[in-house]
Amino acid sequence: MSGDFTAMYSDEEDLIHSLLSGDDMAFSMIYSRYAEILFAYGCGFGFERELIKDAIQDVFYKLYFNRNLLKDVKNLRYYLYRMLKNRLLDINRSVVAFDDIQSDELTFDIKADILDNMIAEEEKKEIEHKIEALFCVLTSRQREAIYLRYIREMEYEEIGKLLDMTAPAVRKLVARAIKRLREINNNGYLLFCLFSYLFYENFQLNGNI
Amino acid sequence: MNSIYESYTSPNFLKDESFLRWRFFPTGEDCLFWERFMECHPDKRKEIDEAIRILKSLQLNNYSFETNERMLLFESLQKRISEKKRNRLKQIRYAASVAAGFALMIALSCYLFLKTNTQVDNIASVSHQADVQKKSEKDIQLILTNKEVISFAENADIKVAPDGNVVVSSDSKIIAAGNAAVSSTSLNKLIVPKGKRSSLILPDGTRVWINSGSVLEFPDCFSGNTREIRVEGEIYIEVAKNEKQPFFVHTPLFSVNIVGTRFNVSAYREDFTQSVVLVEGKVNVNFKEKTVYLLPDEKISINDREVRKEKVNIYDYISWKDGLLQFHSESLFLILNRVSRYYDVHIECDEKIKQMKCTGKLVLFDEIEEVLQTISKTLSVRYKITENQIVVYKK
Repeated sequence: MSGDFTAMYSDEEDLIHSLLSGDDMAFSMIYSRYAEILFAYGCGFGFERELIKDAIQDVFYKLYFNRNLLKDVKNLRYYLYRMLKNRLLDINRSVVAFDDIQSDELTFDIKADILDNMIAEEEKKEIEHKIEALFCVLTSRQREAIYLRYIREMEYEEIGKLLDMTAPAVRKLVARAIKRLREINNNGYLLFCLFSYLFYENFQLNGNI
Repeated sequence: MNSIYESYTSPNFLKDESFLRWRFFPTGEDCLFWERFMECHPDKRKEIDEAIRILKSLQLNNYSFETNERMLLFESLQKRISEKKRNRLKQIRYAASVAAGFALMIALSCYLFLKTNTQVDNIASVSHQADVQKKSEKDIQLILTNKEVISFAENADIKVAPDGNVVVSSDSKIIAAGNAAVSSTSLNKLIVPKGKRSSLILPDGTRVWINSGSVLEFPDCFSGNTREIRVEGEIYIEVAKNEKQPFFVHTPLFSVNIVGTRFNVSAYREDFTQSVVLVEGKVNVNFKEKTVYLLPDEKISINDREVRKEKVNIYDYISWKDGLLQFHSESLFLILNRVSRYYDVHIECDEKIKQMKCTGKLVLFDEIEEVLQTISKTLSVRYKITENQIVVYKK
């Protein structure tokens, strides 16, 4: 007998239910599924790795002892993103207080990576820079919305909650962002397709995280 | 046609907007153009394919953990959680201990290295005598003191009456019976091979659960001042209370004197470190010339170099009795070892994931595949079943 078995994730609601009923295995599953995705999201705000790791630990620590918070939660992913962002905002505020800088917003950045290692380092950097430069013309919120929409495949509803705005407003924000990219670069259309394409690639990647 | 492209290599293509457009959105002008281009320049096919391949590796905000980072973060998270839990539990446990009776549990894992220890010689030599063992290695065997051999395939319950009558039953049905001639010098021997489990009621009413791959030796009756049994492998035992006749469990490396009524012994040859875990009651562990006292929730680990005592989650060590494995921050390697022993299958584990730490429960289903599915669902691992072994590897 021989076979190759791919992990099958059980339904998200089952997972929440198991966690609520005190199953620690469900907790580890949630951790293994989301820790790295949360880490990638946190890095977009430009914090130090260690600080993001601490924040992620705080999030899961809080989740472990306050499971009842999940009672009415249908969307675990959004909930964890929100918890992490809140934590990062808190951290940012405490830092800001010391530095006396008037800002309560986090800045979201996009970094491009060509993972292929057959291509020369210089060429790789050039292509990566080209893509990153495109995103610089957008506002931080637009970048975050685009990241969540096209890389993390979030619903407008969830993105709205993360950005403290309504779903239609997010739609507008994303549409404006794409229009802006098109104006700067006459291949805006291309970028739009690039997102769809990246989204597809990432969908496969998420399964491995 | 379009001579500049004729000199293009893959990086050049990658920087060409028309090319990118075609790749990301294969319709319209660009599509027609590139399809024709490839028809006219089959020699460029290789460069184009290379460019496509490179483009597939593009990621945005592809931040990830370094090796072990996720695991280490989880470990420190677990530590923080259990510290908080311990603080909470302290108050609860105090109240519970007032009502606590004598229940106790010991898990011992043994590695045979002390040639000077007489008990080692005893058990080792008995094992050699038992050539009967080879006949049907897959069956549970009960070798009585009168040399009668009872063997059976099912996971059975065995009862030894004070008069030496032995009854073997499975699901309340009697499947075998025998009579051990009462003799004070020799011992009955129960061999439970890998992949099997059994339970036994001793003449004094003491109950023993015997885990896979274990050998248990016990007398027909406990006539002396003490009650003594020997084990190599793993047992969970509930000792019938009799203060006048203390109970001893001997393993190849050390012996345990039980003051309470319940304990679990595990003494596998292949495990390097031995351990005793106590649920409730009191136990003395005699190792070399030393005696160590153990209190509830404590685990003592013994190997050739050191003796170490620590607080543990007891159920992790006795859960096998209930058909499941429970563990806290245990390495995947050790968990697979336990699974391998239970199902009698060789499991090979990729070096990269051996040290992955796991916490939780694993139900020991009838089929090992169900267990493996649970593991692969939870951890980022996959497994492959071949003819004579299972390989677990990184996803």
